[in-house]
Amino acid sequence: MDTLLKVKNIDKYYKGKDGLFQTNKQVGALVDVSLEVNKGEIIALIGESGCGKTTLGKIVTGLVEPTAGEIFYNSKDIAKMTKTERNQFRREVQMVHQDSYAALNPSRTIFDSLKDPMIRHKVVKNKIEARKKLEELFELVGLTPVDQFMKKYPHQLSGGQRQRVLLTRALSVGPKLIIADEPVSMVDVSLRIALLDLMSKMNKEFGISFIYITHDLATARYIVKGGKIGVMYLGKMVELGELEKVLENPRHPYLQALLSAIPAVDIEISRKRRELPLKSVEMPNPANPPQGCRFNPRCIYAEDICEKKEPELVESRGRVIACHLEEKIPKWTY
Amino acid sequence: MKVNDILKIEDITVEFILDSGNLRALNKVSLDVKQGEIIGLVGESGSGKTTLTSSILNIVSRPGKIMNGEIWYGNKNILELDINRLNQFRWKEVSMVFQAAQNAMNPILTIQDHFIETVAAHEKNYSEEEVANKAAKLLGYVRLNPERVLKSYPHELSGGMRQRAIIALSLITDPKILILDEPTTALDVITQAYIFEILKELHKKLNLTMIMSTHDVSVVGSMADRIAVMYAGEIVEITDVFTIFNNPHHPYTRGLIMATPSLTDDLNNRKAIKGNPPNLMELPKGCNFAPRCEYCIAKCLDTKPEATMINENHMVRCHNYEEVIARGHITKS
Repeated sequence: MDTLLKVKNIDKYYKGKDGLFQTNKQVGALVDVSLEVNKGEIIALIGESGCGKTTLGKIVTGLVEPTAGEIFYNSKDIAKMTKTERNQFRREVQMVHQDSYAALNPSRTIFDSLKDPMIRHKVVKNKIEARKKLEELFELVGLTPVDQFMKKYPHQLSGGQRQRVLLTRALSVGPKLIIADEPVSMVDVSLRIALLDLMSKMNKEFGISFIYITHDLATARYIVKGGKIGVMYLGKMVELGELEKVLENPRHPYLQALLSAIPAVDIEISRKRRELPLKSVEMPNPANPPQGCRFNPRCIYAEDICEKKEPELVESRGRVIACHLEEKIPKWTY
Repeated sequence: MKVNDILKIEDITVEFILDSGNLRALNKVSLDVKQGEIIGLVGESGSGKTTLTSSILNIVSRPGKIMNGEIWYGNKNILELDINRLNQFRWKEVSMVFQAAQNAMNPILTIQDHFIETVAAHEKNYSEEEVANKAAKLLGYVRLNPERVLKSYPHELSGGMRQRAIIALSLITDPKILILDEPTTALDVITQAYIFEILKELHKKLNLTMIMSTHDVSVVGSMADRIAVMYAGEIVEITDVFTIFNNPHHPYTRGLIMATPSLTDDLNNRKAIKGNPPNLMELPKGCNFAPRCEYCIAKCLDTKPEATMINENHMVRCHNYEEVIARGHITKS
């Protein structure tokens, strides 16, 4: 398969302050993260708040510049693109945010909000063409009757409908890659699957690649199907591979802990839930990450080496994983 | 009231008086709560969960108004208590942890001050030292380090720690019933699982009765005894948690379970519920769920379904529930 996007050894440090009079401190939001997205592929990035998944999304869309590392889009370094190439990149890589209410201007109708990017990126010449194109797209995403939705203001729509509007906005400029940052976490449960199905449809019909950013492994499993999953912890990738292989035998102790925390729909499983396989539930401060393996203070398997040496990502069982004790970690069962 | 019922909600109707007309957020909702049980209230936004839980404390805020109904706690109808007696009831008999409560703390008070302030509002005789000791014990129950936490300001704690501190705070006056409104929404999955572990422990230790609302049915599955499913201001089904998950009788309940992605089952079993949640200002003539329902028959379009008792513990509000049963148990993997 062709590589659409290649993220190579990205670091992102933010300047933080430790106290009023202290010197600036570097907070590593992302440390040495690499990722490849093929054309037409769906990748899920999993992690809790503060793991850097949103920062990675912003870097990939070019909204935030990385401190170090390179990003190649269609084999071109995005930092060295010409203006035309950059515009094309900006058009082809779109983002869908978590809070659909915040992502739409409350004082503009849906049509007004959606026509501008299309005209700006010269997808259409004028308002009339924009309207025609949007009518087609609204049909496609199920925002019907089309006329009514175009006239509405964001507050008149339900969360699921607004999220559809955001997906339409991304779709309207002909993207090749959509970064969806927690697109369903604020949407009612009964509507989540319908939105995920819509994203799958966009993936199949138009070959659009997706980076699906979430903390919810169950929805990730639902949408990714044949694609990859990357698990992040405190700014680092800890396990990355084909979703099916990874979930069939999750290896990283952090991933195992995440899995055990997810509420099960199967009541027999959910009633016999064990205690979380963690020493502590509190996430360490990213400004002051633990020495050695970043997960070691919370890991129930941690040994001396984990405190001393930071594990590298190495290949094992058809995936890459960053854990010194990978061989010793017991198999996970649901 | 049955012997072991601690709370009895009868025919509560709440309307929001708006310029464009009255919006009925709760329509004749009845619910008996047994001493010591955990009830899960499941429903989407706008289904009336929060309105129902606020009604129990009589804190429905304007423009909302309780139009009808009674809420019995022992031999008291809460809706008829004067403000002084209501303040004795709130927090001392029933306390509530609100949605996003982790953001509800006063940023310029320490956690200890929060405890003292709360007790001061509800008790006449107390000593600060006593309160601090009790607070320390409760913080221990929610697995926080009292020495550190009591002296901290809210911003010094993480979201999950604040939520746990709020749970401890809600217990400072020894309430019999604890209401939790979306207690883990906006928290990470691990924190969520941890808070449920703690709540289970508290339930055992203190013999608390709990009412817990959530929009995600799988979240309460691990601890609730019974689940009430709400839709458009009504309870459409209520029964024990196992029946809700394995053999639901209401099409909406079944739809919700089928629409929740899981880690283990065959993905092809998952199916979305079509359509969107109803607009409470323009409810259909017949069953509120009819426009989205795959079991809808002619009767559903013009007659509202009454509550049907399948057995003593199982109520469903559906004309065509036999058809839902005929579809069989929800299959797994």
